[in-house]
Amino acid sequence: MLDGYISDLEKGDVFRPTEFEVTSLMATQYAHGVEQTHEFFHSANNSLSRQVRPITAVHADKMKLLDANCLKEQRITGGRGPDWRIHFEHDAESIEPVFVGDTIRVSGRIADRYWKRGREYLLYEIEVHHADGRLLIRYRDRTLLRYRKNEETE
Amino acid sequence: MGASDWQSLDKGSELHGQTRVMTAERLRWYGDGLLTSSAGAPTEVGINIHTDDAYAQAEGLPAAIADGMLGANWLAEMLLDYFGEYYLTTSRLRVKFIKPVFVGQQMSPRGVVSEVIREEERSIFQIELSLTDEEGTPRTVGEASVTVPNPATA
Amino acid sequence: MTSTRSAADLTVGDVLSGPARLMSRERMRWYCDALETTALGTGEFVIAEPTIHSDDDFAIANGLPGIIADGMISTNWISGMLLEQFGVGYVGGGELQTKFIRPIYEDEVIETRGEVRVVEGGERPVYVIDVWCETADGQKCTVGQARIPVPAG
Repeated sequence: MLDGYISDLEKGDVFRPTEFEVTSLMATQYAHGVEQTHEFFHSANNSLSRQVRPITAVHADKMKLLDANCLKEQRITGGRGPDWRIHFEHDAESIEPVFVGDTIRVSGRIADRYWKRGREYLLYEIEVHHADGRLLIRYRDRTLLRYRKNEETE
Repeated sequence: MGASDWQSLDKGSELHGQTRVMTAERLRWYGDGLLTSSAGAPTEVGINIHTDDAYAQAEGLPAAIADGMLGANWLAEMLLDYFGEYYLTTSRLRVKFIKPVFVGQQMSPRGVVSEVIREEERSIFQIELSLTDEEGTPRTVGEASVTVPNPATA
Repeated sequence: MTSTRSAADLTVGDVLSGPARLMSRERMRWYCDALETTALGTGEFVIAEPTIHSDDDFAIANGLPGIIADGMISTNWISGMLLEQFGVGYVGGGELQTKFIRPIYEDEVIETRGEVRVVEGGERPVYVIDVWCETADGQKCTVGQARIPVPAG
């Protein structure tokens, strides 16, 4: 179910897409946060001649998508849900780089929600397209809804 | 390490990244970077399972744990060091966070080339990845593929 | 990227170089926050108050055309180049002196350089290295000298 907490999401939910322009701050601050000093991420003074956003920053796209679709738990502005989730799997395929100045459209869905060994998981399938329609990143993300086990479901 | 080091890689070659200690500051930097990249404006991370022991313990964890994406980015950095812009243009990075990483643990990114698919104009490098602690125990594992043009066509 | 020679094998005239970096507004802000956080020393993270390095109005009120970089950013880029080349030999026994002879403005591309001027002999040989940062069109901004013990070969 959309518009509630992240833990309310169900298999088959399709997110309302979010579209925005990638700014220099978005690229440089993410790279700074993980000590990636390659000039690719900090200016256009590199072999691609444009400032690149780290591919792994698709994690931030997921956050933006969740903020736009889970209105009771908008983490970017400090919102909280009943439990803190645990990231289990990151799977990002870069088809083309995301450049600063690009307008991108992030879309996605909940491909699965399931229990395994006493813990509940969400499987996200997310795509990042350029505003002109080109697919830039295909992303799958598996997240535990909470760390604490539910013994009854083991 | 140069961005064209992929030319010396073949099946069985090992990749090494920078060994780092997981510190509370690095966890905060990642939180700030992720939120700022999501929000598009400087944003500070608050209390969560990555920044606050008491909060983490309330969620059933022994102490604050690293966001898995921090280690994923250290693996990504290693790929960027070896493959340069080709990692940024056509690649796939898939990692699973199989064990939590705590403050004070020393983490080393490693890779082994498992296959090189040679085609007429390009080569696809497939790499097994791990992020191991000081005892050699993998805490994050995964695989990557990076497509590079063959030197004659580069 | 530094000299292709090892730290023990440098000779007079050898050149060191670091990567070209854009002096971005964010890099200026990160330094201000890092400096104040380190200076406070309590473990609390500090967001720096507006200064000539982070706030256009503040800089203009101080007679500058806009924000300028703290000279310690380019000094640290030089220091990083020396650390890459000399490792612990720089950290344990090296000296670095810099002067800020021209402001570095937002969005200028800055490269770090060094050139070995003298190799002083004696019981503990020392490299004397001219170091500087320059803009894309070759204007020197931060200049100085480093003295680094020559490692045993």
